[in-house]
Amino acid sequence: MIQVKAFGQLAEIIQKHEWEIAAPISCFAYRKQLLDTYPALQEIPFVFSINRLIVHKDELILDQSELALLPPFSGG
Amino acid sequence: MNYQLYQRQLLLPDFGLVAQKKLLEAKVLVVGAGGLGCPAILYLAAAGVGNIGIADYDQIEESNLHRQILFQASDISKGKAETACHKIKLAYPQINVIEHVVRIDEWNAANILADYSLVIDCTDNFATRYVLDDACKAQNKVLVYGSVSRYEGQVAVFNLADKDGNSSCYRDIFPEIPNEAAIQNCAEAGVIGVLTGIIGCLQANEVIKIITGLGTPLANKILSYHSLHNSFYETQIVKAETTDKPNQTADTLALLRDDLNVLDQSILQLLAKRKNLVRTIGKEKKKLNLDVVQAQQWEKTIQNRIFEAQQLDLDTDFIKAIFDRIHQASINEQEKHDHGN
Repeated sequence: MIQVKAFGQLAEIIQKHEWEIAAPISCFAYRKQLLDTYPALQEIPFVFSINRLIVHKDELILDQSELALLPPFSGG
Repeated sequence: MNYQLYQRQLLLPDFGLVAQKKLLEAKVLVVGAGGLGCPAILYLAAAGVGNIGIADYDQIEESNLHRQILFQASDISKGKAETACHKIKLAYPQINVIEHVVRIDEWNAANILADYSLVIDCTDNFATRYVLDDACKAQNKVLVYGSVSRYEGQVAVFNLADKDGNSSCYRDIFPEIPNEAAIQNCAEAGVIGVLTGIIGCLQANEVIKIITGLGTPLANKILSYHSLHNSFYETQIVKAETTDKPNQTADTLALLRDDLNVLDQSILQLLAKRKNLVRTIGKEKKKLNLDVVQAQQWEKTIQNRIFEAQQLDLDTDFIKAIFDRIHQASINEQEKHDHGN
């Protein structure tokens, strides 16, 4: 399984901040799944972090990985 | 230097007079005297950061007072930069404060930043954040970033090399400026003063570490903090230069094919690993004077693979054919090695 953590507005839209998904899955495929399930995410340019390393390319997320979904914050 | 004033921090291990002198000589620009800026300015001035520029063009409103702790009820409708400078002069007269009553934009940023050695991003909008990110990158100036969203905050240090010599900027995380309207800000989403206080203090702490050389700054990392769960989450930043742009309108089939490609590549990598292992086994067999082909051993192995394939709901003929072919390739590899030596 892959442990997923969502931050900020993403957690509000998805309505949970931690959950698990089946491994393996690629970043782009999981992003597509998320956007299809939660269309409100389309407005937010969030990035993936796999095992605490930000990933911009499409990578396979392997079993036992930790995936974090990080949105930009603007408040100050 | 007033030793009595800084006596308690001078006592700290590794701090001392040298660190204090570095703070007094530092020139720091705080952009935004709001929820993040107020605590950051206050603590930096208190710690003895000698020159503090404060940039803000806004006026104080009543709804600011719960988090913008430099201001009081009688300050409402006064300018933020002017009032912040005035408060710091009263509290810490030895500190040189410089007010910049201006909205920092792409035209004036280079000039304003030029006088400072370090910039703190305490703004409340993406437009100014990206201006600061670009200007600091162009001048190779350390930028200590902080931002909040409801009960959460982020802190990072840009344009400062980590122990591996890597540095990054905000655009390395989010290359394009987000749609301002889609992302919550404090005015719409709400914010609690303690959270901006924590994030502003984390920024001030990074500034003190960077100036004095103490500890490990958040270089090339972004830290997320959740005030309701008391959790910190640190992630390393990887430059976005090699970004593959996800095509969000791509059809499902194309994405599934992408997945297939990635899986196929994994299979190839595993086969390459297997080949290396087979070679090592070949050498061991030679040392022990064993034949390359150990028929009984293979029979046992293939039975195991077929059993495992059944468990995974894979076609056993298909798996047997693949492993027979792999086995043949392994024999060829070991015989090649055998004859080669």
